[in-house]
Amino acid sequence: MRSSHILGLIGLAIFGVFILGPLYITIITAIKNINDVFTIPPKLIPYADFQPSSEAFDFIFNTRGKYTFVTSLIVASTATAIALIPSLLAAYGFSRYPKAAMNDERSFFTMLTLRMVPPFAVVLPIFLYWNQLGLFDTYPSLIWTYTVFSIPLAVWLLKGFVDDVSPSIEDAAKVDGYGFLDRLRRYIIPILGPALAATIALVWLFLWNEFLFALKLGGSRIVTYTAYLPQLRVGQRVQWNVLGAIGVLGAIPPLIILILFRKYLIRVYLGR
Amino acid sequence: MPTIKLINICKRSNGSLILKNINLEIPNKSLYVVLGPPRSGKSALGRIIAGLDTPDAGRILFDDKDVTDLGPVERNVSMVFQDFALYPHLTAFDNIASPLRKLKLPKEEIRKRVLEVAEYLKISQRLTHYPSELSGGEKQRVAIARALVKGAQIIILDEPFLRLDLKVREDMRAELHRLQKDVGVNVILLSSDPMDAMAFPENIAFMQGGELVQVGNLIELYENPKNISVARYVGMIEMNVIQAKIARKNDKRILDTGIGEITLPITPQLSGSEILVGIRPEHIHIGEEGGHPYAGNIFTFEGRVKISEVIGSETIIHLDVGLAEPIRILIPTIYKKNPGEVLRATFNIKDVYLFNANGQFICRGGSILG
Repeated sequence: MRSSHILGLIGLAIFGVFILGPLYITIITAIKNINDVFTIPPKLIPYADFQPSSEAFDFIFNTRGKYTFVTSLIVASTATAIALIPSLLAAYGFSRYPKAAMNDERSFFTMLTLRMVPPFAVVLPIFLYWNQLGLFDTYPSLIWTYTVFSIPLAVWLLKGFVDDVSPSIEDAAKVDGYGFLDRLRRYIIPILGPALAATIALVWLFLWNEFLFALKLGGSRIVTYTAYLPQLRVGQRVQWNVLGAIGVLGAIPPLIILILFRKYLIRVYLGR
Repeated sequence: MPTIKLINICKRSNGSLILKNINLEIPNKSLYVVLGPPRSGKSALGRIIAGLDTPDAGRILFDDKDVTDLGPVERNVSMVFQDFALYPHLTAFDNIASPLRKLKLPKEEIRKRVLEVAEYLKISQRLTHYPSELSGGEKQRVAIARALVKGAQIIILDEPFLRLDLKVREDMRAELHRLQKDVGVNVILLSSDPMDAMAFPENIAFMQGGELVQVGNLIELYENPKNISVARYVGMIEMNVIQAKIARKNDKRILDTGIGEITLPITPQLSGSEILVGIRPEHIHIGEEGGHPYAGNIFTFEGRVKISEVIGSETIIHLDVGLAEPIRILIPTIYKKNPGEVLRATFNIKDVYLFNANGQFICRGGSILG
């Protein structure tokens, strides 16, 4: 074995420990009862060091905890669905009309900066804005904010995919007699197909995982599962096992998405 | 199958004029070749005839009916694209059926018409396949079938052979001839390949830089090119062009080419002090004067072989004669020569093309020598 090969393996091993270590801790914490959580030294091996318990999961399913996942699902899915249509149209425009007025690097970049702004910088004004409108802590405020923040990401991803569809295919459809909406519906969207699905999945994933806006724009009536986490304390004690269990449950949808769309997500992340 | 008339067509793209005042009449039931180098404006012209783009100025008439503002469907025009533009998510059958589906024809009618045109283009066996499973020639046939199926009167093909193998190109050219004859449609071929002009020699329009340079049949373009671009472009191999200076000597004009002198009688056509002498590679012969098929007016020169390439049953020799560019010679047989060998070559002065310093055609050598 060459030495570079060995170095590579060592690197991967360290990487693995950093990635898998916390995951392992999260999972074993989720199956501990609250008293096993705080022991020093920590109990690391189920059945040998501690007896697994469903305490944390029972807690989630017997309290409002379970509804937070439903809230997250509603908010993330609705916002993704609403964001998709303007994003597809915008991506189409950016891709197909490069010579149109205002369609230049600058306007595209300006749109992307919406995504680059640190959420902390805008969360307070957005909170005040919704508060003034009397929509604080409602579905519309969180969904609308998510929609706005999802559009730049979706446009950016979709533009690349639309670029890949040869314009002559659309010319052919024009020659066949199809108008714009027909072309979009019968040709562009089916051809984008899986790429479109991957975009939806990725946008949804970001919203599913979102924490700051969920915490600041909701928190009492509208509580997503991420915003629910800070509320998990009994007196001075944090319910780490419930936190772990929520983490485990919250990781299931992303895991499914990653497995289903890994081919396209890799293209997205590598800039194809 | 209408007569197409383009009147003063202008088109701007990105601030520059890509079509400059095009006037062209395309006769009905013709196979018409619009020939020109890449970016000469022929695709832009094709899109305007198809109705995919509208001209910034000018009118388009089909049989004296103004169609300038109509779309491709109202004009009954079809187009076959360079990359075939097949819908990747649909089978060959559904690709061909696409224009009929838009017309909302009954299912049975669609099926009948698709099978008919597929039979005609010999792709009946491939209808259930997706475009990614078809060969280049088959994709081309599907694209042509899709263009034909709705009964279009005009079919425009944009560089249809560029992406095909040489052998398949021959098949598809023959297919176009057959189709045009059988169906009687107007076929307009946009091409940058001079071989297409040779395959379809009756009607050719040569474009360059957004301008229509010359319209005619192959022989007219070959024998009487309007300018040096046409002369260079229309031919098996690019014409050799040599810069020459004109000197006066008694009652003669001497053209000093740098590899020898050409003596011509004084005529009003030879004015100025500079002239471009063009000689086609197929008009140059290897060997002594005696080996030349014509007698008299023979120009002889010598050079070293730079490259000798055998293409099929022909040989192209690039002869270094000490000028900026080597002289290309086309020999109709396989003729092996090693680089560095000295060759003697001749051509008949009657065969040369004379152009003025701006590249405008003056006349052939033969017309001065009589």
